Amino acid sequence: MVLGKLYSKLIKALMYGALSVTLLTLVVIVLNAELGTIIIKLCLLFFIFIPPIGITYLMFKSFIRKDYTMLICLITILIIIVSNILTNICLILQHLLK
Amino acid sequence: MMITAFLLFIIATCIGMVSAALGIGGGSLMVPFLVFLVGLDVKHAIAVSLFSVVSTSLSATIVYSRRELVNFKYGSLLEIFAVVGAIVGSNIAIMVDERLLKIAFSMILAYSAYRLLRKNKNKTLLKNSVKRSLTLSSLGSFAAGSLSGMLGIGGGVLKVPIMVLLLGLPIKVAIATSEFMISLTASTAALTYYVRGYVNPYFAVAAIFGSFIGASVGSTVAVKTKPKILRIMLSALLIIFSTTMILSCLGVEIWS
Repeated sequence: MVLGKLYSKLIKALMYGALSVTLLTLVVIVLNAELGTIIIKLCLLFFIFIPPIGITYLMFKSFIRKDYTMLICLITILIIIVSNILTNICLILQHLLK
Repeated sequence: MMITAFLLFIIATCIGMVSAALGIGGGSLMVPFLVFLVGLDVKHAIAVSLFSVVSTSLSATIVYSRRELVNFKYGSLLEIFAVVGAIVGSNIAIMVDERLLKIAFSMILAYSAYRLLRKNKNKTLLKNSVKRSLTLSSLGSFAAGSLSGMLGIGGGVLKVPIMVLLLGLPIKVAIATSEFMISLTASTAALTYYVRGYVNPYFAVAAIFGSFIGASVGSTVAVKTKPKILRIMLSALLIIFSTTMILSCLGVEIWS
């Protein structure tokens, strides 16, 4: 199968997963507002991580296909994104536990 | 709260539809609505808007990549230059007069609109191959990133014309690739606002759901729309942005 279709399937699965959990959480909020808010915050965080997950997947695919130009570009992008996440890791934990 | 979230959902659906069809993030359309209609302050509006942009771009990428319209190779290459450009641009912005930047930006947009319309007449861009050198387009992408860094805009409005005019990509491929690139940029920016606590979770969820639905419809429509119509629509959008910038330099704020 071609790269675009595989990427589309992955992003679709992740998006639908995140959206379904968020919808279920809206029910949880009615029962326990505090717990619901924490789960929603986690869902939003997961939502932000969908593009980096997609990039990692593309990276592996381009490695398998021996497309080294694309691989170098994707690694560079991933380094930028991961360094941004690592810089903010303390703030992420603080925000979730607040 | 519920009414505001519902209003946000409707706005996000409409903006998501237009944005996904034209290859832009939609942040420049969303933020003014959130500030003036919903009453959020600018930082909270940008935070919610970024989640909406991520949702729009991901939803559009699902549709476009399924049809093999996304050029991942050029998308990932240009994204590097755009990110570096954004870092350089945001540093330069401190030293340069904002009005000068806005005038330069509006001129580029107006020229891009003109070129897009003129190319449409010549019908020279229907080939599926890349005509110009990568160096030129990388420089163009760096410039687009710099301008977005200087002016605080998403850059989708610049990325599509660059890919069409410099790389010679077909308009649908350019739109699809732009959405793929925007998803990466917007998610990185969204994290910064998220960790600083600017995101209202309920508003963000409403914006995400609205954008997701709107973008699914918008991108499906765009796939079936003739390239000529997409070109005209994109040119119209560029002219609107260009005019808004010039008016803002003259002290006329349309949104307020």
